[in-house]
Amino acid sequence: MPQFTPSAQKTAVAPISMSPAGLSCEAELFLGPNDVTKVASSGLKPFLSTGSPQQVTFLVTMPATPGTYHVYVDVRAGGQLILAYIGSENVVIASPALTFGTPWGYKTGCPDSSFKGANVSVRISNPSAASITKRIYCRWQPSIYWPSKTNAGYKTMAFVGETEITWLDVTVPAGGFKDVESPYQFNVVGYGWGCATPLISTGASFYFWFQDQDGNESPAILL
Amino acid sequence: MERQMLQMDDPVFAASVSKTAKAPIIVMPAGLSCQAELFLGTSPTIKAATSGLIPFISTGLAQIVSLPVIMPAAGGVAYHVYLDVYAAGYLLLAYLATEDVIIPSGSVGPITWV
Repeated sequence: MPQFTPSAQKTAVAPISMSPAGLSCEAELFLGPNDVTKVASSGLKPFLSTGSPQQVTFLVTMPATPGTYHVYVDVRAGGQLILAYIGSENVVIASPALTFGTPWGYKTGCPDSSFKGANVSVRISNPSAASITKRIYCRWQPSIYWPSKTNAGYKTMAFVGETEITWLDVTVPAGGFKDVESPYQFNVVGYGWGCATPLISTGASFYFWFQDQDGNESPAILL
Repeated sequence: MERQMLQMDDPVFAASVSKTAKAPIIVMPAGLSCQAELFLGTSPTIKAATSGLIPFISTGLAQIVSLPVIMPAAGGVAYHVYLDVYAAGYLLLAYLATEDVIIPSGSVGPITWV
C-alpha cells in the first residue's frame, strides 16, 4: 500500500487501453473516501486512443489530511463515462514524523534535601517539507526496571508552567529543528522551582527519553 | 431497394446505455399507417441493437419519430446506423447514416506510483 506525506506531489502511471483507435479520450485519477468525493484529483488528462495499452501519467497533489484514501480512475470518450475503476490498493497519507536526537541533561541540586531534580533536553528535527506540530512528552523510569517500561510504569515529567503540564505542543518548521527542555519543576510557594518535590534519590540512576503523540521515541539517557 | 445516405453526427456512447434517436421522417400521402425501425449493426442483416418497429401515422410533412435503443453491450466497435421505414407493411425507405455510433471499450492496468 503506497504511503505518502500530506500535500506531496506524486505521479501515477496507468496503462490504459481504449478501442477503437482514434477516439478523443480523457482520463482522471482521483483519491477520495468514495467516488463522488474527490479529495485530490489529476484533473482530466486528454489522450487519443490507439486500441492498444498506452501509459497515461497523472500528476496528483496528495491530500493535506492524513488518512486512507481509495484510488479511482475514470475514462471518458466523447464526453461519456466509459470506464470507472477503483484501485486494488489504497493510498495512505501518513502524518509526517519528527526525528529525535539523543537527549542530554543533568541532575539538579536541591538544598536541604537528599533528592534531586533533573533537567533533560532533546533536539527535535523536521525532515519534511511542511511545518509539523506534535505533542511531546518526557518520560523517565528508574534504571532497575530498564529496559522494561511496564514493570513499575514509567512516569512523565512536567514542563515549566504555573501548573503541572506533562506535555508540550511543539511546532518544528520545515527542514528545521527545535530544542526542547523538560525540567522537572513544580511551582510551590516558598520553595521556588525545582526542589520542592523530590524526584530522584541521589544514589539512584534513572533513564529519560522523549516521546511524541504518535509513540515515536528518542533514545534514552541515563542520569 | 438501394439504401440512401442519411446525415448525422458521430456519437459515442457507453455500452448498454439507453438512448433515444429522433429522426425527421416524411411519408406521403398523409394518413398511412407506418412503422420505423432504427438499428445498429456491422451490416444491414446483423442487428446488434434495434428500436423495434415504432408505429406512426404519416402526415405528409416532416414529423419527428423517437426511436429508443439500448446500445450494444459489445464495445470497441463502430456500428453502422440503419433506418427502415415501412408503410402498410412494405419497406418504403432504407437509410444508412453517414456516421457510425461508436461504443468504446477498454481497460486500465495496475497503477504505479513514481
